[in-house]
Amino acid sequence: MGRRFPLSIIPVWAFLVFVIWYFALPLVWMVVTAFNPNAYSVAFEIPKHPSLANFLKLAKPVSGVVPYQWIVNSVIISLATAGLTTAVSLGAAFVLTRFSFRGQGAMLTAFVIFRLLPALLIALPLLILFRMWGLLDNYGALILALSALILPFTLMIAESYFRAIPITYEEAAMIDGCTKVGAFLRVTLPLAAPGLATIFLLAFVIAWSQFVLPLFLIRTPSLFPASVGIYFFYGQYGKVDYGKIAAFSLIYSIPVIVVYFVIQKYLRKGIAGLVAR
Amino acid sequence: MSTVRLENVTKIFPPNVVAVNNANFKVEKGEFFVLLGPSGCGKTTTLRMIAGLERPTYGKIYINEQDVTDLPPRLRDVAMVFQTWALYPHMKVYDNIAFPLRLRKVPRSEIDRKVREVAKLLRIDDLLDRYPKQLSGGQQQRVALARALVRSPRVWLMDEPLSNLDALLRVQMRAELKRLQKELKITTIYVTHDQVEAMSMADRIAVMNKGRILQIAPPKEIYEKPRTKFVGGFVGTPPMNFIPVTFVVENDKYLLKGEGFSIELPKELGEYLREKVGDRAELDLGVRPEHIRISTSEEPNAIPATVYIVEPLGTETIVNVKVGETLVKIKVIGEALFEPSTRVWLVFDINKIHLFDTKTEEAVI
Repeated sequence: MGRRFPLSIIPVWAFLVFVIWYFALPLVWMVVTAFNPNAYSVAFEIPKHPSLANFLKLAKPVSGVVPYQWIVNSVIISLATAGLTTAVSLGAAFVLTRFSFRGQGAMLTAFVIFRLLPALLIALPLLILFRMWGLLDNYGALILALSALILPFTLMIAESYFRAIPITYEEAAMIDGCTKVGAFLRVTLPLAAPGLATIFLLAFVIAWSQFVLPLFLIRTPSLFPASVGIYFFYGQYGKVDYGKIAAFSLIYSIPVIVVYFVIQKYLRKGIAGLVAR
Repeated sequence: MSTVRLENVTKIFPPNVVAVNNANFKVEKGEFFVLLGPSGCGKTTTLRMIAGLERPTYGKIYINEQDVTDLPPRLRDVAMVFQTWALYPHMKVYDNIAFPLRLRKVPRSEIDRKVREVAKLLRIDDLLDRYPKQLSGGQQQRVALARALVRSPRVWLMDEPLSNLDALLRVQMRAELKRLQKELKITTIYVTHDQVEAMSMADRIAVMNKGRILQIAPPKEIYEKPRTKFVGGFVGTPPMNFIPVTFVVENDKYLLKGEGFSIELPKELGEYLREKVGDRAELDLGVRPEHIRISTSEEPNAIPATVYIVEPLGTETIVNVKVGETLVKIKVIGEALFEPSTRVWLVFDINKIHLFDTKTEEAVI
């Protein structure tokens, strides 16, 4: 006897299709428009002659900068931020989970509270400070600021991850011949690799999409990341080349989508780890 | 082969928890030394201090008469088997066993030879390509032993290594572990809360309670001459029975008086006791379940009791009786048919009784 198809499932499906359509529509618009060489309005128009013309146009300067440069800038900034954030989270989590000291709990609570502050709140003070110190237009400074913004979040993930790994493995390794740090690096670190990958990719995505801090701290158009650069596609008199914006947006969204597929397995684990505490 | 010596070792955890209180003992070369006690008695902390995972608050630890108190674990040349075995989950069995050797920069061919040798000894040579999670509990246990053995450590430390195994396997591994230790003659310090394990494996046992070492002696002596009430009650299944009595001297007779009975002690024993505790003293009479005989008729120097419940165990039967308000267990070989509430008399060899001071809980004979 074959499985019967219950009619009651139809409304559920209809609802799901609606939800997916609702959320996917802007993305569909973006993809369709990116390949439409004649998109001069926001109209949803299936191109008769799809082409890569919009992508080629991105090789021509906008406000004196080739838009691809902004993508490259974003890659540099996001990779460096993710690297720094991961390294610092790792070190901090090691100390927080493998030693006990006064004020440990208060420290973690402070991190959580800092996490709740919106980027906009610290952007203006940072702008003033950075200008004073001559750090505007400085990638190092921007990366530091972005890392500081992301760290509380990644540190919480790292802390819960390392706490979940029994310290007995490290003790066994220490007796087997490792130093304390050696035991952590040789035994716990490999076990935490999925967690670290999650942290790296999350930090990358957050840095990649950060708009406020780079807008405040980077003044020269050629140094903008893509998130700020996209702003410049709006011409002086409201003239907008939607094809170009869509093409640029498409390229800009690819890393995020790739990252999502890579980490979705780990991400669930990481977040679940946070909840499980 | 090495010796291990603890000198006035005390461990205090903040804020003020005394986990180990002034431990002193010396483990001889090739000895199988067991730290026995209930959970929280400080036995694992003692072991961890010997391993170097905890630092003593006071006192010194010597291995081969070399002061190792301030040495990190890796420089002590000891191996440890953990309760959870702590096999590195991301390494195959082979790499788990090879790990301590690799850290010591032993040449590759030598590592290979040693790993295979020890794997063969523990009969895990067909599991070398597996990951720990693909192994059964007993197999993981063997891998943990192999990892501890492979570098021929000076001292073997074991923290309840059998407690995560099921009962049948535990009994098997117990015998195997003992044979292995005797064959390799490695000085071993073994922590357990299971007195059967301790009795069956140890050359000497240190019984601990509340951070203190109460007695250090071979198993037979621990069983026969417990120095405190705690030791008497902790070793043996079922545990030693305690019946409150009063020692009195009446008309040149030495008597142990309890609820509804009076036992006359031989003169020699009575005089000895009088010298120790005086003319009158509150004591606890300790008798092991296997040293009591049940009589259905009244006998001299017997304690009257009422049958409470009978537990048949196959080869033996545990008869629970009540002496006044005290429950007493008696081990009877084979079957024993008693109806509850039957009146019986308990007879015992006066040479096998123990007497403990009720206040200090120390043995007086």
